[in-house]
Formats: sequence, structure tokens, C-alpha cells
Amino acid sequence: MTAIGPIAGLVLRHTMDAPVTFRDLPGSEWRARDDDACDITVRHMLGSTSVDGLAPSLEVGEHATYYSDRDGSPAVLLRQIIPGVESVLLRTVVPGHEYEARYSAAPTSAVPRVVSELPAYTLALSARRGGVIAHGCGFVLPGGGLALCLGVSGAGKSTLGRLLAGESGVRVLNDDRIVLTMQTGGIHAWSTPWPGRGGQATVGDAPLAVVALIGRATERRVSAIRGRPAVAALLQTIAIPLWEGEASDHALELVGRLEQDVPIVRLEYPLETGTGAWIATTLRSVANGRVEV
Amino acid sequence: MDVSKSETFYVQRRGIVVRRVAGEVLLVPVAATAIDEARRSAELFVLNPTGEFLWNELASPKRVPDLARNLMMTHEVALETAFDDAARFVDALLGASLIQVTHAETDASR
Repeated sequence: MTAIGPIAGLVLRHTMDAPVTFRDLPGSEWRARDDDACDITVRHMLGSTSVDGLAPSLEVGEHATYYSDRDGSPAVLLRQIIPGVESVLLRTVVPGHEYEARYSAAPTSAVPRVVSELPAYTLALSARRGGVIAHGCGFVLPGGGLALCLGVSGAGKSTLGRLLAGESGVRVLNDDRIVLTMQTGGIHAWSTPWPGRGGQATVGDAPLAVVALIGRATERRVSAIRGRPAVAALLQTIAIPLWEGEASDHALELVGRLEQDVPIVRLEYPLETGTGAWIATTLRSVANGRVEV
Repeated sequence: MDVSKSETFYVQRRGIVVRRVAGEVLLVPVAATAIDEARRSAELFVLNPTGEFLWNELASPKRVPDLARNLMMTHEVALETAFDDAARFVDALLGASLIQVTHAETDASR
């Protein structure tokens, strides 16, 4: 049994009824105690991954198809993402609380934890109307508040995380995935135990202070972005739970509030000496409303 | 598929809902409500005012020339521009499985 978290306040526990071992258990920082209260359980077992009786609802990339069961609860069929295993079917047992991951065959080697953990957490988060997962590098600015640098795969989030790691007063929480939740005072950002290629995934959270859409350029540029282009860019990097209407409405409400309440900039830069410091200083100034962009 | 030269009729797919986010109009393919067997798209579309008009037009079957004519009449744009806009819109939405080809011709002239 392995308990992870809390992730934005939720502890996720794996129970093993199948010969599955994880190859990348997190350090003590992300390990919940086995006697901690559990919010989300993922039970791993061998069994049929047939989708008979499930209605297809959504395809995400080449490897994942979402389905709905008779109760309208989501299931996800993951194909060819674990060596030696044709498919894994993740099904809802109790929405927001219990999920089972059925493997079509026993894995021949240790599997990445993220394969089942991230989809299960995502389903639970949306069922609870708890928030959304953003594809971005998040770091705490000098003086507080979180800067979220969003980018699609290959945009340079992990590289950015490495650039910022040594900057004074900056604390990189995660170089790939950040959970956003709506709170009374605004939008709050939380690190997750799922890092990107840079391997940065530190426990922490902070109020969301600024959002940057990152990209490479030959010289440093920062420009404000609002309205339609901002919404379109946010939707490319924030996972909307399209498998369920009410959950997607909740997520879109969060995106709308983000666009209205949080400064958003397009940030472009070359990889050169001083870029990390410039990014931290610029985003801190934007967050504090001291930069006209 | 060259939608601009086609006499094909297009119509909204079921299961696509319109949402407003920060004042912007989105097409959201909430797949749990979709009942067709086509491949579902995870792509969300943010519409500009022209796109919003064309989307509403496609509530009933339309050909690209129908869309262009109605766009020209309501938005005071040249027919050539309206035709290009309508063709590009249909092409993009067809690619994202947000609209579908239909054989129904009813209401096409509305």
C-alpha cells in the first residue's frame, strides 16, 4: 500500500491486488503516512479490460479513450503505455473516491506511477469539482505568490524550471503540472507529485499571482494578453474534463475567472545568461502591477 | 475535402454545447452527451463574432454558399470575403468533428 499526497489537499492511496510495482515512488516529501485519512483509492488488479457496456465519449491522443458507464461515471482505457501490457482500464467505483485499474496482463517490469495515478486523480478532482490541472511550470516568486508558466509539450517548461532553480528568492514547485483551485480569495495553485523532464516536484502551494504563456525568441519580450487569444491559449494548456458536462462547466468557470482576475502575459526569451533572473523579476513586477505591458 | 466548391450540406453535430468564458464564446464537445459514433475531438473552439454567427446558422443544414450569402447580408462584407470566411470556418469545424455532412436540405435557405 502506498499513500501519496496531499495533492491540493487530497491523499491518494494505491492498493495492490496485482503484481504491480512502481519504479518512481516519490521521496518522503510526497509520501503520506499509511494511517493518514485517504481521499482517493486506486485499486490495482489483473482482469478484463473489455469496454463492452461502456459508451465511448472522448479520445485524447493515441493512447487514451474515455468512456461512460451506465451511471454516467467515466472510465479510461489506456493503450500500449506499459511494456508488456496491452491495456489498462481505469474505472470509477465511487465517483471522486474509489477507482480500479485493471491490467490486461501482469507488467513485466516496474511501471511509472503517473500512468494510473494521474488519470485517477484527474477523474476524482473533476468529480469533486475540486479544480483543474494545468500544464505548466510553477514557481513561488520572491515575496510570495505563484507564477505559472504555461506551455504545451516541448515549449520549454522543464528548461525553464532548471533556469529558475538557482535564482535567489525563487522556489520552483513543479516543472510540468500544477493544480488550480477556486477559493474565496481567488485562484490558488498547488504543486503535484508529477514532474516533467526536469524532475522538479516539490510540495508547496501559493495564491496564483501571474500567468505567462512561454515561448522561445531571439530577444526578451513580454506583452499582455487578454480576451479571446488568452482564453484560447489557456484552453490549450489547462485540462478541461470534457467527459462530463457539469465538471467541464466548473473547469470553464475557473478558466474564466483566471482570465479576469490574474494578469496574463506572453513571455518570450532566448536561453542565455541572465534569462532566469529576468523572468523572475519581470513576472514579479507584472504580478505587482508595476509593469506596463 | 474542398468545402468551398461543394454542394454539400453541413449541420452542427449533437453533443456540442456553447459556453461563454470571460465573455468569449466557446464550442465545447461535451462528449458524454454525444450519441454519434464519430471520433470525438478534445479540441475546444473559441469563436469570434463571425464564427458565432456561422455556428448559429449551422443549427440547420447549410451549404457554404448559403452561409456566405447570409453572412454577407448581415455583416456587410463582400461576397468573396464572406465566401472565404465561411469556407475556412466549415473546413476547420469539419476537421474538429464539430459539424457533419448531412443530406437534409430542409431549411437551407433560411
